[in-house]
Amino acid sequence: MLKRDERKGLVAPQGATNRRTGRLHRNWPGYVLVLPAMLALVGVIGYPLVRAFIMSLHKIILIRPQLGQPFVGLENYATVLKSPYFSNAIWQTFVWTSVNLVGQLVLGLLIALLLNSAFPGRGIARSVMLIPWVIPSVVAVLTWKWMYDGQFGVINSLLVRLGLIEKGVAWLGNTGTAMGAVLIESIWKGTPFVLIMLLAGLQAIPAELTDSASVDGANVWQRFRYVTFPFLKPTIVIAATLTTIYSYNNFNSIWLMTEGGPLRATETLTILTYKLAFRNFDMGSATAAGVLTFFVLLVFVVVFGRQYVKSQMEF
Amino acid sequence: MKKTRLLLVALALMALAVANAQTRVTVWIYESFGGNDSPIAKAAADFMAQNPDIEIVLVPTASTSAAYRDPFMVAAQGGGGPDVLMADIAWSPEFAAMGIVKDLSGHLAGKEDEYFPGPLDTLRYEGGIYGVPFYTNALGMFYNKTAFEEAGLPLPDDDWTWDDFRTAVDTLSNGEMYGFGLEGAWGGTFEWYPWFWQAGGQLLSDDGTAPLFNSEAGLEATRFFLDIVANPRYVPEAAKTWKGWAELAAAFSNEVIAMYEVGDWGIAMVDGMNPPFEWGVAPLPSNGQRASLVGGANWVMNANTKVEDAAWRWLEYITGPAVFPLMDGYNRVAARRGAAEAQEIVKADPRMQVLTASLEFAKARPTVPLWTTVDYDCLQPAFVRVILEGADVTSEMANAEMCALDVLR
Repeated sequence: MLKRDERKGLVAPQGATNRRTGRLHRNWPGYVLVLPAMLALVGVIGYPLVRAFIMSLHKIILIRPQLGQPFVGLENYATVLKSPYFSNAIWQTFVWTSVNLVGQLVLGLLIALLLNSAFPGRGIARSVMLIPWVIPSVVAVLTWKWMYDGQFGVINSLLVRLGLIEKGVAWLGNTGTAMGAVLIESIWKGTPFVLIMLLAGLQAIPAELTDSASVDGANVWQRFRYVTFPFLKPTIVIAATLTTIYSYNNFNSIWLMTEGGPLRATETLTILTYKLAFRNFDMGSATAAGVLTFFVLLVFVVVFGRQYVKSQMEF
Repeated sequence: MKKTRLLLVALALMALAVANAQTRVTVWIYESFGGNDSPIAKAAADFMAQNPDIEIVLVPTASTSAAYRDPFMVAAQGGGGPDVLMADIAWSPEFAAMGIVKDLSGHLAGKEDEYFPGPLDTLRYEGGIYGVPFYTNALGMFYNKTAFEEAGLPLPDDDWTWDDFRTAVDTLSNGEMYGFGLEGAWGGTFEWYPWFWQAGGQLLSDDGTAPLFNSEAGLEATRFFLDIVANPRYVPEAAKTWKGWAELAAAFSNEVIAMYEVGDWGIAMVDGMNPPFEWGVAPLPSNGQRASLVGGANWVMNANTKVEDAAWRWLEYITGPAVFPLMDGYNRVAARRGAAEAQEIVKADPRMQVLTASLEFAKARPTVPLWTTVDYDCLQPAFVRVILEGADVTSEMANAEMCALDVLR
């Protein structure tokens, strides 16, 4: 392929534009084949994005159709940014995403390291660890909701028997405990995905490297810090990126458990956006919040993307 | 000549095909109503047998707001969606305000008296009637009869009062059982409405623009209600997160709570849990005047439908006399007058009779599209602050009023 390109470059030295045209001309069957997929992507991602951005510049209140949909510029953005609910949602989103990220990565890494070492029953242990991941999210959330129940929940029953609490606590019903309770479910559900990725990364590290480090006298921490971690870093960056995006956008867990309550103690940006759209029917503000969410997420993706490239180059 | 004859035959066949073509009416129903052998599937089959020119396509759909109401809103705003759908009574004003359902007042002219007034009121919006009442219910009080008798309390009847209720809650809260339970995750506003009306309160001004709930009557009812709800001796801690009827039925059946407010759908739930005690249903206690809260579902017609006549014929059938045996199949009470006399489930069950009688004084929440927002964003947080943080009822109701003014502005 490279040789053909070079040859083509020699016979058509008119410049870059001509080379591109030549490539396009030569590769047209490929472009035609990917065209349907590209059109589908534009339809399901590109169009909604552009449409959402346009909507965010208009006042659209569904239950007041008589107002029309006047262009209001950045007014919706100003309304959303000035709202105390938005700043609360930003903070809750930060807590939600960062604790999910750290929790899932740390737990995933520790379990992956454990499952990468040889011990009897390792295959069974690996399968068992995947259970939270394969359970449908709605089933998992509703199960946890019952486990947290202040009257019938197994968690309260256990804590009372252990003497840690006197009587059942409504973990999801108090402002001080609701976010923690939802986070535990989310970390439990999301960790196996990180675990699989990291385990795959660990298995790709040649055993000779850690063995020779051991021979050279490196202890467990040194082997991890100077051999395992550098090899694993690109995988960690990918896992961190995906975990961040998934956690940031995770609507199910919070909605099914608390709907953002009590008193907005678990109201993240996605929950706030949904409420603006389908409880207040204010599509202009909802899409403005959605566009802001998109850009925040874009920053994450760019930062993590650069980290990934950097770690690959270091490697 | 031969060609002309062939053309005529083809045209005649086409005309015949058009004449025999069925008009398809797509109908969204709650998933819990669906299934091939369901009563509504049989009703649709009967209807199609009587109306061979119409095909009814039932589409059972998960009935939560996010899975049912929102997709319909989105589809209808985009010019699509089913022709008709069952819809919670609370959604009707929202749909009407959005202009995504048809005003059926022309079809209903002269027929309004055929329905209970409460359910019909949930469909009124700016002079129009945006649907047809389907089934209805009113809140009553489920109570543990055995616990009442063991505590030496008189059983609740038509004449029991707020004071009787408070005494019962206090007596029955004995350390092992709590006197009362509710869907606390919503702050308790759903259960609070009847008490508010029993005190003589009015939620909104007649034109729907000004909140009036922060009145003497409103404060009296709210203080009475929240004094009980916020008392950890009377209501279990777990109730703070309860927001489903199954949780309450489980708590009641397992003798965790002695009483809770619920409608006719709760009977099958509690019966299904085989509680080890005698239980009964009473009307909600009164405070000089009686009130309950209307619930249930309506039928609405998509404004985009191109088969209005066929869709109306279906609605006319499904809300006509055929609704009585249909609703018997679902243990529900039809919103059509005469249900108490016509429905077997009402005639056979005294508990259903109590709840059906409550329909006469049951009221609907305001048919103002933003009322749901007032409830969620203003009243519920105020109630939750009182329950969780011990906030003052008077100041919280004042805050809720300011919030409602802002929402309704």
